[in-house]
Amino acid sequence: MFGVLDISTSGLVAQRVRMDTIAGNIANAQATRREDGVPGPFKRRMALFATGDGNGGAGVHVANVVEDTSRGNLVWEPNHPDAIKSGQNKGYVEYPNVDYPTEMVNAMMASRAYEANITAMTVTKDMISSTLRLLA
Amino acid sequence: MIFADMVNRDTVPVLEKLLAYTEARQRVLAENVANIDNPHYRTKQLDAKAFQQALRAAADRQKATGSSEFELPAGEDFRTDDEGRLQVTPTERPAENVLFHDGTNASVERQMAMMAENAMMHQAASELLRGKFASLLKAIKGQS
Repeated sequence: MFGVLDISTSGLVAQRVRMDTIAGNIANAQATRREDGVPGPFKRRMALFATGDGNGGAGVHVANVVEDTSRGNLVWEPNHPDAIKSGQNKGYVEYPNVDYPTEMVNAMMASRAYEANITAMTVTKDMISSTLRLLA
Repeated sequence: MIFADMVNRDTVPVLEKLLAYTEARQRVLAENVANIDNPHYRTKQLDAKAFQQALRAAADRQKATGSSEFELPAGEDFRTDDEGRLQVTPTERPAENVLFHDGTNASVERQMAMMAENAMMHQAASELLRGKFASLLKAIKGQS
């Protein structure tokens, strides 16, 4: 019975990681430089869920965090230091492919799923305590 | 002998099995909720109705035969192992909608409703069992 709490915990952790990627996406929605300072738009990140807790138990876990490699918006800004220097898109700046509505909808889904797991946990906790009260 | 009779007959074994079953079912439901937005996940289920019918049949049989052991025959998704513990094997729910491209049939409402129902069943079983034990204790102590 106590193992049931672990299942709900795995759900909480997975949703929190997903929320982290969403927060990161929104925070970086205008970033035109990568972590190492090289010009290049930030690419939106997604958390991939997989069944099982990753160690053979029941639950859910984040199997991987992958980048969405699709192209972002091109904005005409020839004087921007990160503008594309050559080719047909010369003078354009490629912004991250982060779409606010998508991120917001995902954030709401993650938060609802988190709540559902919390509720499941509360129910399990009540069941455990009512079983334990049999001894009293 | 009297004590063994009291805990192996009547409602106690039924409630005991029901408690074990609701706990196992809670595990299945918690797993479904944890995987609620995992693409391609198919929700798992236990047939609570079939279990309750089996329980009733077993209780009726014990009453009819007057046996001192409560025996629950194995059903489609549950069985009793050698040590008398209840084991369940949840089945995958067939996908009945075409709403999702990945064929998932996740429905958080249904899962939470089943969880609430399951918790109430657990609560009822444990309350009744506690009452039963309390009256047994009263009889042992011989005081009111």
